[in-house]
Amino acid sequence: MQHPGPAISLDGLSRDFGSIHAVDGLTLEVPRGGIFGFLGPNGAGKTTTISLLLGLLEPSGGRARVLGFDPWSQGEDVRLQTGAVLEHTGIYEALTAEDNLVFYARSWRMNPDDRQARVREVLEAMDLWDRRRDKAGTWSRGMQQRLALGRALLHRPALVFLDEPTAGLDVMAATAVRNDLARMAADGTTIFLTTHNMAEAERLCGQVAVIREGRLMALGSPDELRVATGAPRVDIVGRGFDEPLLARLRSLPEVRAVTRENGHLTLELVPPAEPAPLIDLLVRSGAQIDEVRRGRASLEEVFVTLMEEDR
Amino acid sequence: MIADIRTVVWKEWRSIWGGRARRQILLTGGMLSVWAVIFPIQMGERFVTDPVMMGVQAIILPMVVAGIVVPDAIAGERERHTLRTLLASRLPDRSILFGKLGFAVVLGWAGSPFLLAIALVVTNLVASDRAPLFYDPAMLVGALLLAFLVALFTGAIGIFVSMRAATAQEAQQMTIMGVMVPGMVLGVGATLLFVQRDLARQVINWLGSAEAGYVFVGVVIVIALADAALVIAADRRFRRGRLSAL
Repeated sequence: MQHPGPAISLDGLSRDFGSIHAVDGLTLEVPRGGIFGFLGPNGAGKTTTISLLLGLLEPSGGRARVLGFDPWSQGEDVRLQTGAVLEHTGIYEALTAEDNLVFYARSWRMNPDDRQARVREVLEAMDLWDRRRDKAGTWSRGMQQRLALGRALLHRPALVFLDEPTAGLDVMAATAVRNDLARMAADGTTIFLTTHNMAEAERLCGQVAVIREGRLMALGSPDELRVATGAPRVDIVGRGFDEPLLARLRSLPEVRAVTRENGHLTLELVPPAEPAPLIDLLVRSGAQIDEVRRGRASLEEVFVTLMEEDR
Repeated sequence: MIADIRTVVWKEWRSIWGGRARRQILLTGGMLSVWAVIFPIQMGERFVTDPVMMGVQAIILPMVVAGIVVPDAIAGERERHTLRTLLASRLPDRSILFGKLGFAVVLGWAGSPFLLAIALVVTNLVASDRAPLFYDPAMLVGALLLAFLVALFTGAIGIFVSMRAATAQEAQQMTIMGVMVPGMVLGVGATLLFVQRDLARQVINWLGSAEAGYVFVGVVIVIALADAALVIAADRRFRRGRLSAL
């Protein structure tokens, strides 16, 4: 029976390696369904968190529940209902692609008929069926990554952990993997995704958590994070943005930053400033304005802001 | 658990013929097969009644194969970045451990009757006028039992070494070194026997006597107890949390 609560629930989860706090009091909930982005710089504790959630590491403190199970004391139950592609694909290069999947299908105790049918289904969905008898070691990194995704989905898990699944892939391979992820999520699988690629997180994730040095820095949808963290911005297209005018704008307390590039003027505002009085000021100063757009900080800018906070 | 062990064995069997260990096993097996031809040619029909030669012939290949396969199956997986994914699977710790150890022991042990069969054929060809010759059944069973216990001993040491070693090669070298020490002592002893023919004859006679049978049983019991202790300890140490933290 499916656990009715959130897919993942963490309450002060911690893991120390000697004096290093790899994960430091992490508290968050991952809802069921959709893609949850787990973002952070190198060494932030993302991979350690995944290891804790899979029951591969014992927590130093706090509590975790994955699909209702304690990953450390009920690790087998967690691993039975989850799939994972960790920082390496984990593909056996000496085995054929098909044997890689058959091994894991056997490990899930699928009966032989179901096993063959499911392996074929997954390989066809990943567009890899025609090369199933190749040794996986002869494949490109992108193909191996897609095979690893297929392996993680073989037993139709409720939750899949993916650690940087598009890292090191070329544009085409990364796009194929992202399409696979979107399809998995559409099929109802909950995906816990770590990535460095903010555009990817922005495009795929319904919710994101940002961690730094093992601590949670922000949690919410990408839009919520932009509103909460990114400064409001106004992009203005026009002419007559001369230096004295820019200097006057910079001197205003409601303006955080002013940049001019190719006839585009960008004003970063200090909340709760509104752009209308500033536009009025520009017009009165002789500037000719063709277009005004409210801008939004990208997730990447939000991420950089969070990483620089309190440093 | 048996189904899970069979799954691990299935994977190990498929992997070994596509990996580095295959070359190492074929090379070692080939060299030892040459020995299995040369010794009977030198010794003639005495080979099938010589417990020392038979024992050495029976245990070396299982020892070497287990010393190659177990480290490749654990430290090798870590080196090839497949171990964490395996640990993230549903397979229980114990099934992974016994699947890998069992596969290495059986594969290594299977080399023992293979080499003894080659040596027997060569002996019969060399001593064609006295053929067909066969090993003493009790000695044959004893040699095969010893081969199994030595393979298990080597494999169990390989488990401990592999849990710490960074690479399969390092683990293989340390495992073989750990097991070779008693092997080298035996080798020096055998060499001395051949240098002093009278002494060799006395030892062979002694080994053929009833007292030697008791000594053999004692040796088997000691190795079996060591195996049991090592396997129990490996079962306690081989844990996901420990392997993942390394």
